[in-house]
Amino acid sequence: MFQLILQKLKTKKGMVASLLLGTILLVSVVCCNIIYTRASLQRMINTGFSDYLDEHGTYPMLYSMQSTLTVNNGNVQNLPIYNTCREIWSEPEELFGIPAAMQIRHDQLSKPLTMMDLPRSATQASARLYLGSISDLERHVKMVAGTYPSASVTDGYIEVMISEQMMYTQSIVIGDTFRAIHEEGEEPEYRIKVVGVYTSNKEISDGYWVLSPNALNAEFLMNRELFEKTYAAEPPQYPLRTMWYCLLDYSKVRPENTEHIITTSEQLTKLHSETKFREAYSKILQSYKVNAVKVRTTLWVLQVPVFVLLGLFIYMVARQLLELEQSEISVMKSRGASREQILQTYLLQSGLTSAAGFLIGLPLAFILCQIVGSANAFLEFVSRSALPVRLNGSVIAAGLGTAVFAIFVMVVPAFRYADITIVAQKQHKTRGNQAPWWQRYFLDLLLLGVSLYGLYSFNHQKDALAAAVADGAQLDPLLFLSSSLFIMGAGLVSLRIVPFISRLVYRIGKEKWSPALYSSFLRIIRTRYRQGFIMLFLIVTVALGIFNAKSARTINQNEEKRIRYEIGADVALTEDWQTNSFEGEENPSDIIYYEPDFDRFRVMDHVVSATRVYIEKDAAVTSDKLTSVQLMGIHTREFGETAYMEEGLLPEHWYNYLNRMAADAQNIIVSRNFQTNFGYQIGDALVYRGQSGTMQRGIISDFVEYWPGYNPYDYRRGSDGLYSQTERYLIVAHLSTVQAAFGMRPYQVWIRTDGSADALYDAMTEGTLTVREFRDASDEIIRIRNNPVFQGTSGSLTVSFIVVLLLCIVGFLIYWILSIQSRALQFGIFRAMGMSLKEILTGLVNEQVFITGLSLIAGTGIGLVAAKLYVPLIMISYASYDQPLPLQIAQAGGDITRLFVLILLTIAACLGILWMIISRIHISQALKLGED
Amino acid sequence: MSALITLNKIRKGFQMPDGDTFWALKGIDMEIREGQLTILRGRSGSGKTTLLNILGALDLPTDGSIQYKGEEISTWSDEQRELLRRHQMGFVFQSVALVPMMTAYENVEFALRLAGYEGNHAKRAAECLHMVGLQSRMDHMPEEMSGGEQQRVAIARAICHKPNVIFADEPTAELDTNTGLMVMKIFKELIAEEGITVVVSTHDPGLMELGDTVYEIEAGELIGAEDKTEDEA
Repeated sequence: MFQLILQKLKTKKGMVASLLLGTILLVSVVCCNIIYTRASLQRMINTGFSDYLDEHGTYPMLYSMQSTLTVNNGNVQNLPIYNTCREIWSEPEELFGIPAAMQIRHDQLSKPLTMMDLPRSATQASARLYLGSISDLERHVKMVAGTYPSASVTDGYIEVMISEQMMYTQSIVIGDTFRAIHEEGEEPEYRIKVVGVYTSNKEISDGYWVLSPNALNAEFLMNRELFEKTYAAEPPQYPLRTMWYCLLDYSKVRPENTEHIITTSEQLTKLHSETKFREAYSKILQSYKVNAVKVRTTLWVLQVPVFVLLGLFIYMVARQLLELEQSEISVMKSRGASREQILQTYLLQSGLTSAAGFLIGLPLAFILCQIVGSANAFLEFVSRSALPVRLNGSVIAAGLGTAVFAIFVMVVPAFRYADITIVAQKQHKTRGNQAPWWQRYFLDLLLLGVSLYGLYSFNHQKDALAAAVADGAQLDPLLFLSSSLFIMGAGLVSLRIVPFISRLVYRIGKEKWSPALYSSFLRIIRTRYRQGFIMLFLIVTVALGIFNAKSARTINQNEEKRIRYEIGADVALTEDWQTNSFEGEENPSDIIYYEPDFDRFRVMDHVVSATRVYIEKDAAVTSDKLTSVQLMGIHTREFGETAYMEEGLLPEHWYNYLNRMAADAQNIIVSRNFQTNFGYQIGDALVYRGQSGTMQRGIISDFVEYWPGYNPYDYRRGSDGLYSQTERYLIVAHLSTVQAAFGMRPYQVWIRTDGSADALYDAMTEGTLTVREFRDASDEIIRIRNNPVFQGTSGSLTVSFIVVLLLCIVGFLIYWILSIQSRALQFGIFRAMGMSLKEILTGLVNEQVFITGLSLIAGTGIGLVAAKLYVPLIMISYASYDQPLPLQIAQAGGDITRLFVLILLTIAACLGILWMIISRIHISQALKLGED
Repeated sequence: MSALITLNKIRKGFQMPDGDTFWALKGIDMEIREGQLTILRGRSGSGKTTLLNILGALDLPTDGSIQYKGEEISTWSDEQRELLRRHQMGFVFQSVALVPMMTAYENVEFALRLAGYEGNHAKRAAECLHMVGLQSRMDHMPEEMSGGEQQRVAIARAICHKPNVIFADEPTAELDTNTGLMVMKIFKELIAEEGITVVVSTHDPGLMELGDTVYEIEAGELIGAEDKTEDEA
């Protein structure tokens, strides 16, 4: 049997290779999904921690405890708490599954000391000073003067060091010796000698300084060894106050142990409240958890159409192979092979294919992962730092599962063929030109109907959907399923329609068609059911490609536009203004601000234009009882040159609005809701008040729905836990008018760059620019593109498209090669009858036009319609809830061109191969004229 | 009666895998006369199909000359020979070779298109099918017809564009004796009614007597020629 299979593998190379390809792709797509998802989650964790570090400047994965021992009449109390702390502190790996990067213990004698016999009297007697020690201190301080305290008592003195700060505040210098006691007349008495002054070499990268060095400004620090020996020997006999710090190695946190870390920390906080267990990382991990669900679902949902197509592809090829082997099976059967034996043969064959598919697919998955990971947009790649990809058990398990599934798909059609005897086969052959079952049972219309119903109900729940997403819900898988169903259903329906077009064209010129066209038309029309699968494949590929491109582009583009619109320009910054106030105690209106030099921005490199924009979030229109009106003071010409305003948002070009406003210093542009809610008209006067309390009168020159930096709605989570939107009002006035009325107050600087904001970053590094607020649109866009949800979406859509394209190429080749091989005799006859090779090729090209061409057109149409119907819904899942702009489906013209170039190249390559096959057909051989 | 095709010292060699040349035809001289039924007789492997291919301008001889209506066609280009086949020749093949996606009528009409037939296609196609006795099966697909019926459609297709000559390679090999005889009778009628020249290869001795001229071929050589018209004359 084995030999039989090997023989078969040899003779049907092409088909077996296609089956193998299908299996490889299926295994690798499934594994890639798992690896990539995991890698993305890992990256999210890492970014979460490093962002925290950047933002807070403290080590992100730290937990701390505190224990205080007291000694009463020689009895040590609170020892259990001390022991619990010690246990939790010393065993992070057992508790959290993560090793410690550093464990720090800070002990001090809990009772303050009083210094006696000091050489100088300057010391503040009231200061509460302590004697203590910190583990590993030596490696994290720099000695300013003196030496590090010794590990033994020298000349009866305990050697200590003090911080530089303490040296000044306590007026203690190196060499000072004194007695110290807890309370007058009470033992013990400490003889202390100051031998060193240190300063902490605190750097962000040094996690050691989780405890503030300032906290040590009242502490004599002993040599750690000496302290442990003397006061902290186990079990402790002294009144020790201990701070326990454990820095977990956050680079070791894996997606699968986040849950464990969160629950363990919760339990510790709850069960051991006496230890004052504190941590900050749960918050980071919680927010990761919410996003992780979103990433996971998104990545799975996006791959579903590809899984389905791959399954179909394997099934199709397996069936085609069986079709070719039909007579062999019949012969085997008539020679007495049982049904089981035949099935066994196919099982073994599929098993071999699947095993090979698994072995090749698994490594390929890692390559695919890198492709997904480097996708910047649809079919667009950038080089990014490599993803932390890892092979683990779940990947192998998924790969094996997929391989088994592939075996199943390959063997299923064999059940039908195993029953066919040679007689039945002959009977079967005479039938054949019958409509496929799905067309007879109207499955295509059913699919389309279901998908449209899905679309309808989703459209009805649009608001609820948006609210759910705002609340952190992930992409609804049914939505994507519905769009896939639509593409599939519409594809099948078009298989009903497309043949009519060919028939119509054939009819139109029936009498005039050249022999080549005539014969090809008749073939197209009479074999339409056989072409069904390849046409469906082409239609779905193109439709999916266009749909994917449009979704990916729209998702990215809307987010990018939102960022640009929200920021208002390429860069918006608020400088740190000098004032005459200290600590801000004065009445705000009394503060005098010193305006920094604005003109220096104009001359910076890469700055195209810059403008001052005064923004006040809480202006008021008293007559209408409106507070929190957004007031914007602009210089109309500069603003027009600098701000970003997308065309088409306003009925006229927005310069027209600026021009009308520029006509008078009192003119203001206000948001449309002043008109709709309060009935203001153009030309009406409106009195507004700034925070400084001064009133200003403005004349309305225009109403606008959109304005750079203005979001018409404000979304807030209400007390019911749901987001609700409130309207926002906007008044745009002349900067000069506003400044004249309210005085010179800090304004934003909006800048249009030629693409690089480097000069601004340089200025900040050099210290010539200090900012309170800084937003760089291109930087935020890069962040969005690197966001795992967006990035993974682009990547998945790209990979699924590439996979589908690959399937399409192979399917296309299989179809045409088989089709042409089966027609070798016919081509021979045509040649004998005097048809030239060129004419035969003309006929084939005509077939391409009406089979491939019409499929491409149908696919394009379906893709565009699907995008129009479903992208707005899918966008809901990606858009941030406060998306101010109306959704626009991206044109994605470039992507579609790229798609067609790829497809046409494929067809051209296929035609080349076909041409080779045809020109190799010898007329006389094809005709088998006689037997010699 | 003048010669339509004249062969002079025709040799055809095939390159064998071991580098030797196998000579399928070893110098044939023969004449196909207009308005005759010429039969090429020989066993399998005798070279008669190779000879038929060369006569029908499907293949070129290795050396020797072949003249069609006095013109040397062995030096013609592919295109010229294609046009020759298209307009002046018709073929009937051993294995039934209709276009499977076309009805009987369409198969015949296709040949008319290919030859650029000037007259009324529908009328001519119907006429030809009538001639072979298949007027009632015009709209049937090949797979719905018997082998003999298909062969008759093939003949109708071969003659419809009024070629000068029809080549038929073992047209009766896959048919029973009666049907075979009927096919040969059609050829005879065609010669009589349309003045066509017919060249048939066969190994069936029962059909020999129908031929006007019979050439016997063995191992690439002409070993006998019998011209009945001359005998009669």
